[in-house]
Amino acid sequence: MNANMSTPRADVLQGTLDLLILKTLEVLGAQHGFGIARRIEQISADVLALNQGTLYPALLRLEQQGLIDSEWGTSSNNRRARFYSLTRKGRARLAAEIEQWQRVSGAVNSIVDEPGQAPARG
Amino acid sequence: MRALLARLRDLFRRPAIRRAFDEEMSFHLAELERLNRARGMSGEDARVAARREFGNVLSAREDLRARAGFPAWDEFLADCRYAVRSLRRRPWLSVSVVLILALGLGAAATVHGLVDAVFLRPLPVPHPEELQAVTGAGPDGQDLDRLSRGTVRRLEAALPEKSVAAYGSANRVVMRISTPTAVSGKIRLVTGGFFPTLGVAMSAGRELAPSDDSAGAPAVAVASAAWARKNFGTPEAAVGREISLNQTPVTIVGVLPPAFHDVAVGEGTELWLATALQLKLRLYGNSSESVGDDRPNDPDWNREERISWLQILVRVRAGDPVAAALQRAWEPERDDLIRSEDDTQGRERLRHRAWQLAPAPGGQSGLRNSFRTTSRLLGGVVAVMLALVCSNVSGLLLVRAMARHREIGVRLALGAGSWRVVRLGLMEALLLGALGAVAGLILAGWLLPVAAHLLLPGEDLVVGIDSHSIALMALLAVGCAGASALAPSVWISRLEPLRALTGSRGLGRAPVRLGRILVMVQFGIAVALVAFATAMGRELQRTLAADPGFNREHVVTAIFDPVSAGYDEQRVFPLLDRLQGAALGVPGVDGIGFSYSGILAGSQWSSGINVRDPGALIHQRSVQHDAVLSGFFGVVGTPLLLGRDFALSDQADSRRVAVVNASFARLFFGDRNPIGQSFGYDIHASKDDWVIVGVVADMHVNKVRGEAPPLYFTPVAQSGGVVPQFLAVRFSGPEGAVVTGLRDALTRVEPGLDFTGWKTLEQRINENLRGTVVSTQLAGIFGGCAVLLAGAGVAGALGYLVVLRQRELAMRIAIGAEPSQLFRGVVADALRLSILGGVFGVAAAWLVPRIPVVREVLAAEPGFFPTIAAAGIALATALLAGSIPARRAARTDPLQILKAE
Repeated sequence: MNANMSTPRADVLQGTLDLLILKTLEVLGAQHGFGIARRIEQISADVLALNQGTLYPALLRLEQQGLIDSEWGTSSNNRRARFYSLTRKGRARLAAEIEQWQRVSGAVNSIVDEPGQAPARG
Repeated sequence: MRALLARLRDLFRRPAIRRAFDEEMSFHLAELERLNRARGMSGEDARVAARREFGNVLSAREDLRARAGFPAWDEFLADCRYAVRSLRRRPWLSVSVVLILALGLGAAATVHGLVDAVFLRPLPVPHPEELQAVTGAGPDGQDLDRLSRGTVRRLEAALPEKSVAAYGSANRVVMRISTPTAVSGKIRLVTGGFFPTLGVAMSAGRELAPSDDSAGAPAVAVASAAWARKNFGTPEAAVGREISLNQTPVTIVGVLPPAFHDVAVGEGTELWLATALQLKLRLYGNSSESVGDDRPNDPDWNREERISWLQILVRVRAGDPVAAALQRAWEPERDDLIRSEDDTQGRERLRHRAWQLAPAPGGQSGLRNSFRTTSRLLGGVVAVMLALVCSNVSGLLLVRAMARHREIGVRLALGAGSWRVVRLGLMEALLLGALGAVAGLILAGWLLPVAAHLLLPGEDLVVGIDSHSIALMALLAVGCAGASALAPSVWISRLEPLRALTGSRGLGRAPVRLGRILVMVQFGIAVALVAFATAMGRELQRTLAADPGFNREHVVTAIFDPVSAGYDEQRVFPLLDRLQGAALGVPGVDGIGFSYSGILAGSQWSSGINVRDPGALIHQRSVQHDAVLSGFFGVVGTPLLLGRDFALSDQADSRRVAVVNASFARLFFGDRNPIGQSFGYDIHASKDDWVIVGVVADMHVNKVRGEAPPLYFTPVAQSGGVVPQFLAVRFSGPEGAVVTGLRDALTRVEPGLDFTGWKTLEQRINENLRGTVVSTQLAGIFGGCAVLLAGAGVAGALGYLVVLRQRELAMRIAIGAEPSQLFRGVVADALRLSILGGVFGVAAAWLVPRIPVVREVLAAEPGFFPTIAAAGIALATALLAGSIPARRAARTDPLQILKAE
């Protein structure tokens, strides 16, 4: 087994991929698929494992919804690559998604953080 | 929404999307590999690791494909492709199903086309849904729809502008366009508000305006597009032309758009003129005239309250107080009519007469009433036909599904859900339905003009397949396909894959029984249809053989209009003398007679009369009336039963005399001798009363079928100024030569008169019965089709049974059964089916005419013998159809079958 695999990695939660892509594009600006995948893994300190191939159907879906745009350009090492960027509608959606995520995760956290009952004394 | 559109767009960009993904992927993999190498991996390890991190390429591709487009659509396309493939595997079965469907759907589209043209289509004007017709009920419950010009004027004043469109009946006129030869034209008088209210945009020139409809205004007309094209080439060329109508010069000022045919469907008016021209053009169309003792009626119908001659369409917009305005506008007409009525009951009836508004987006039409019965009959026939088609196709599809049990078993065993398999069957049925609908539409496009010509001869109708027909056809095709796929689907859904794979057809006898029931139902319907067709044929035969009350052979008749041509009652007698002289000079002519309404000429005249005899059975009644010249009965061959015929001595100044028919005598006097009895218009005896001097046989003057109406005749000279419009000529020798000679001779002496409708009485009888003849022929054709379909059903169902029982048959032959025994067995099966179906059909033939709705429509009721004969025909068909699978059973080769097992 590979050395990297020694730390346990979590799969990206269902439904949060869109949020991660949009946020990454907001931070990095126009970026290609590889860049997005790399960034998500890096920022999460390699905790989130991304099945990188699944990124592309998600990108197509976001583009169909008008949340992102794409354009062919040249990568830093001079190869042809497709660059995705946020649209205005995408920014608005991102804000809404973040708010939603914070509400839900906050609620989950407050349930998880609740102290348990002290064990009954015999 | 936007996302959906983008998906739809991407559906057509799938190859480009895939290429872009492949390029992105190779970039992505290269970058990953570079990264891995930078982390210190070797070339091969770096590449493998990159692939692993990227994940499953195929599933990413599949996901992309699903995102670009719609998976359901892909599945639908796949189902379609599969259905096409499997239909092509058995082309003959597919073709016969499509043909059977086309037959039923084509018949449905044809009938719908006729119904649409006559009943449903709105007038081609803006907002036809706002149009409402003014209608009322008469004393005997008959529909009334005519009001006086005064009432129309008052209604116009009470309602907003462009709300009231009133018009008279279509009239024949004598028309001269550029040559001195007269032709017959069809015109209609309308109020000045007619075209502005309807909102018809002229295709050339201007419309008739309210200013054209005033006394003394120049005589102008608007022409139909067809008339303008026929006579002047283009609409523009017609505008400004002067023509002559009934000797009056008239200028064409406008031409209607081609889509606007008439306000009454089928009538095809050629020229439209203002009502103010009624007197000038001497137009006396359909009207209801009331005559009082207090004053004579004004000859100008525009100034006379007592003549009701205009039908009214009102454009009702929200909030218009139309009903109240209508009642107020009618009151002066009503009060004047009451003054003319000397009967208390009649006055009371008038006081309570109320007028209503009925939605009339398609205008008003008498054709609708006369076509209603036929259309219902046709609708019923089509419904039966569709039921028959569905059960037949259902049987064929069931047989087909069962023949494919092994393939279906494999599909089910491989994990296809039974819904999925059923859906494939449904898809095949839908595909067949779509093909059937297309073929049906093609059939209807060809059949519709023929049917319109046969069923509605002489009507100016716009028939064709429009979007409505196509929508209906789609609906019916889906319905038929769905209904037909039902039985096979049920069978498939209950099939067990393992048993199907081993060759067992599963489910035992249930589907077989279902197939047999379907065949039986078809036989039943076929027997009932054939029984009805033969009953109708016999009724028609009886009608044709019955005595119409006149001699149908060697009498030729024609219609002419002396009043329109400028002859008044004084000048008409010399005219008739001249015509008589000219006609008698033609070789072969034996005699000529004249009357006002004539025989089977589409014209009727009724008057309310009071019989003076205190012992009469009835004292007052509205009775049909005709005015004839002496000698008329002899020419048409109506026998005199009692008393005398009219004589030349019965003149305007001599005692008024009448001849009545036998029904009239029976109605008023029972068995007593009516000679010497008198009757008149007034409620009390007066000097104008007629004395009955003769009784003639009953004549079917209005229609050939049914009872002859009570009828009285008066001499033209004593009939209050009516002028004969019908002539009858008795001839010997060849008809063609006599008619040509007559036309030439009459036109030579009177070039200003147009004689139309040259027909022998025999032809008039046949024309009058045309509807019945066509219905009978249709019933016969449908009955024949039904028998054929049922026969095909028997052959199919039994053929399948033979295949099903192959093993058993082979076994029986192997142990010594004779092939002829097997043959007899299958034929006996066919017989059993057809006998049961026949019993069902005989029951239907007895029951159906007893349903009240059907009784109104059907003239004939199948008798005992026609029904039995129909059952016999069905039996023979079953034997014939059953012998095909029976022969196959007899040819079973035991060695081959048993070896295959």
